[in-house]
Amino acid sequence: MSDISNFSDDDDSRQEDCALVDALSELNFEENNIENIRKRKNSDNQEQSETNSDPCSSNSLNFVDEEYDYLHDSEWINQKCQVFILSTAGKPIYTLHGDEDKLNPLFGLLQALVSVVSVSSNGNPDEDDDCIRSITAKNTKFVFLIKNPLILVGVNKSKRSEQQILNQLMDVYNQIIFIVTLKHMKNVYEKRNNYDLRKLVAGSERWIDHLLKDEKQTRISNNSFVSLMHSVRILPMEATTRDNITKTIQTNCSKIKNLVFAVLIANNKLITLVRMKNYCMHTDDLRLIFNVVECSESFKTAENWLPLCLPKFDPNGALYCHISYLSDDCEACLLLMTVDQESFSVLSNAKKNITEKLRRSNYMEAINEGIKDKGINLKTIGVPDIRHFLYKNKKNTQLLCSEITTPYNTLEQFERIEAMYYDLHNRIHRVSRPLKLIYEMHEHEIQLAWVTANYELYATFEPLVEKKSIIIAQVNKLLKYIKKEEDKIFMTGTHIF
Amino acid sequence: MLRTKISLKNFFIFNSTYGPREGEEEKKILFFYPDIGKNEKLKDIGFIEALIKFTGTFSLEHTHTSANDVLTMKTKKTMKFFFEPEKNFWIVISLNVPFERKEKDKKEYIEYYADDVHDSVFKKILQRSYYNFRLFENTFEDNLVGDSQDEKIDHLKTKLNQFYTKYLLTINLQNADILDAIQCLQYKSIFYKTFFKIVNFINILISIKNLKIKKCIFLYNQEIVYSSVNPRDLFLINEYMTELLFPKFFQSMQRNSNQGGSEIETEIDGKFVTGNVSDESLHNDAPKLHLYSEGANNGECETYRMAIYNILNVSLVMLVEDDDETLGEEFCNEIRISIGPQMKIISKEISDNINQFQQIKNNDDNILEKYIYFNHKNFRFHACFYNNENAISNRDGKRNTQLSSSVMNLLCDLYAQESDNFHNNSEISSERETIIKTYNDFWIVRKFYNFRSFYLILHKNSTLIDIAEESQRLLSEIVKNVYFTNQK
Repeated sequence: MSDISNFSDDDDSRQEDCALVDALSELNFEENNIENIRKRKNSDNQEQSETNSDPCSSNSLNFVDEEYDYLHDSEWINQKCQVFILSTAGKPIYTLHGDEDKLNPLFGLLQALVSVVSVSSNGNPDEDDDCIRSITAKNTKFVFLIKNPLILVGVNKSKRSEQQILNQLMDVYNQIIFIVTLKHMKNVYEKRNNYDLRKLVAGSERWIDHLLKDEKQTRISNNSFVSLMHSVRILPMEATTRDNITKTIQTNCSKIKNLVFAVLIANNKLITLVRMKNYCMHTDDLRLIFNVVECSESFKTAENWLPLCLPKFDPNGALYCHISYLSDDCEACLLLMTVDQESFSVLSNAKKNITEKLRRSNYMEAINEGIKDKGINLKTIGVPDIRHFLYKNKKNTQLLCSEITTPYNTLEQFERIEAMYYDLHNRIHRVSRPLKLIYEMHEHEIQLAWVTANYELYATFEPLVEKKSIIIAQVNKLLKYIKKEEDKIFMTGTHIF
Repeated sequence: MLRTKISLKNFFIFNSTYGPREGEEEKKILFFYPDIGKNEKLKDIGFIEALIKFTGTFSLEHTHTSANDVLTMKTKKTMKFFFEPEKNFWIVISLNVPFERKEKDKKEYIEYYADDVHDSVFKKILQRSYYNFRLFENTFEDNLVGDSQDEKIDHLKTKLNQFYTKYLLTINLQNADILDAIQCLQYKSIFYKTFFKIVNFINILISIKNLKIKKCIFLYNQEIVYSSVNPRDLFLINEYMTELLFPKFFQSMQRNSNQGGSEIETEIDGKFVTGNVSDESLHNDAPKLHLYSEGANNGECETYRMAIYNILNVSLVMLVEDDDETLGEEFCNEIRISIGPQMKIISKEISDNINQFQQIKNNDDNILEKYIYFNHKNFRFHACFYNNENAISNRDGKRNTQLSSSVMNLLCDLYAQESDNFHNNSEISSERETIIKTYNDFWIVRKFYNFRSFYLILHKNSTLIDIAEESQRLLSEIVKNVYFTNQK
């Protein structure tokens, strides 16, 4: 284990996220329990891949010309973001664009680059191993993440920083662990060095695709800042309503043994989270859940029972997860996670009861109101020169954004401002020399980034505000508003069963 | 253990087309430092070839790299910078990243500081290594001299070896900083009147047909006052003069005066800095320079001989047409007899100038803050955080800044961001301002307008509003000082 630790994304913001509790053993993950999880999972996946005619899966591409040469396809070459995953033995596992089987030479080259660098320091026992990190050629960055037994490579033509591309690769890696579990993956590779991991991931590639692809129609959204800020967004609602919803879940679940988490989400935002005492849900794990729920239409129509691994919670074990939407007229998704594989019917019942109670008390309407919310409306606060802002509550890693309005509601302008936020975030959080504040006047806007012990604020202003005192006054007004509305826009406190 | 400094791992030049067949790969190697085993050299070259091929996969044919594109590769411990200044010729520099041995839970580990190695700085250092070769030896292609292919390559190898073995000793990696990235020069500030006198003097000099002087640089105390050479070449020539020629020259002057020659005498008599001091003719000693034009006549080469005449505190660099009679006895006499006395007058005037200037400066509020100011169009800069007056031309080759390495690193970060914008042609015309605050309460203010950049470093616990006001006041004051003299 040479330096992967260095490679990991433990930047400030992540470290302060709720840490994994040491005593994982308390949970009594039994060996054969997990083994069973896997068996079930594999059969599930097979079913999925049979029913699911994913155009990207290798089987369905047989009719396409085998000799197709991506390396001369300008559309393929010009993709802004590419991700390749291979095993350390050089076996192709995944490509975001195209068909990995037809990119064999490229995967071979990637594997060679990685291995040449890692052996170059051999021979000197005192030295620790070297490993490749990145290559930059003109406007293209190539970033490597080596997580034995996998190699992930990101090729990026945008202005994102190396660290940001690396974080994206970490997300992809975690999404794989989410599907396979680290322990299982290591086991299969220990047995067979040239194992084809696609067998285990089959059917779930779209989860990875969804994590990386910018869907044009949903592109203009504050969602894209969630991963940048390592945080989650909260569905706004009155504090008492949220408390009552939480209580409803608590009362209906408190008697169920081995239930670890209950998560209620809607519109990519968290409504509430109830957990077993001493166990935390890491923001990164929560984001993976959001990703999977968002791209799985099938969850809407039926109850689902899936084993899933939360990498930050325990990369080596899986939790059984009951996933279903509350009802047809309320698009909130409830996830009940347990270590007990036999509790499907218990959880199914609990869910029915929760739904009924919420309907009777009119909380579904409150949720639907929250779903319509587009973000803070700046006009109502009285800060006319602020065009858009991102506010991260550092204590509970929750993100608040304002509504995306003119001029940033066109794709071109949104991508421009998004790139500016990425750049700002990268500069203020550079691991070796972090900053407290950046004020920047650009041609088309003014931006301010401010990191304190309790929050991070990134705000975009009208370009012609000449006086900094005006900017500071409006920032203060905004902060005051956030403080006042805290109960409604953030989820405060923790809830246990 | 202290943090190690950046160090040179290797530096090599290769041309893959010279050894395409198996068994002949060795022919690719044109220069390699350090001189390690053949197989290791070929392994390093092979790796670069693979990187070039790999990165090429992701760019379309017509957007392939040009001579200005430097590729970089980072590993945990090293950084490589490589570029192709001439078709198929690649120059590669590899650096060891600074590291520090640390202990955590009683286990020793090594932390590497890749962020301390700035792309923007080392890309320029790599490119300069080529431009320097070209300035003195002409292009690689032009050095392929001989009857057979092998002979040609051997000739080039010899030239590369002679040049780079010495050159690598002069690259100062450890003190490389923002000045290497901006590649601007600090000019000596003097009064308008004197400045125009010098311009006039040089124009007359160039108009004297039989001297064949084409371009001139005028220096006072080895600091540039006026130049008619393009800024990039001027930077290289200045580096050559300040790091090699002047130190050698003044040392020998010192020796002469110690051996009995009176100091006053040598000061009053002008001397040629280039060539043998006692020589009557410079014809065989003056260095040959190859200046390459950019822009419309891109790639056109003009060859000159360089003569430097020094009298009192001033030095005159003359780039003279290169032919059989260049810099003969007649030329030297002409300079001594009719040019020297005029230079003497100018030298005295500048000295007076500087005295007066000093007085005015002293009357002003002393600006204690540290700043750097540069102009992207004429490549001039002005910095006040170097201990020696002239940051570039110090004789021991060491830059001594008053800034902590963390602040210097931040300046480099800010500059890298600025030059990225510059290259992408975005926001060039507009006025911009950036203010950052570090964790230890340093503020850096950057202003950019009309192709001028200004970085101010303040250290105090203050608010954004106060810092903005203070920087505005300081900026106008500093600009007044910088522009006091030779700007229109």
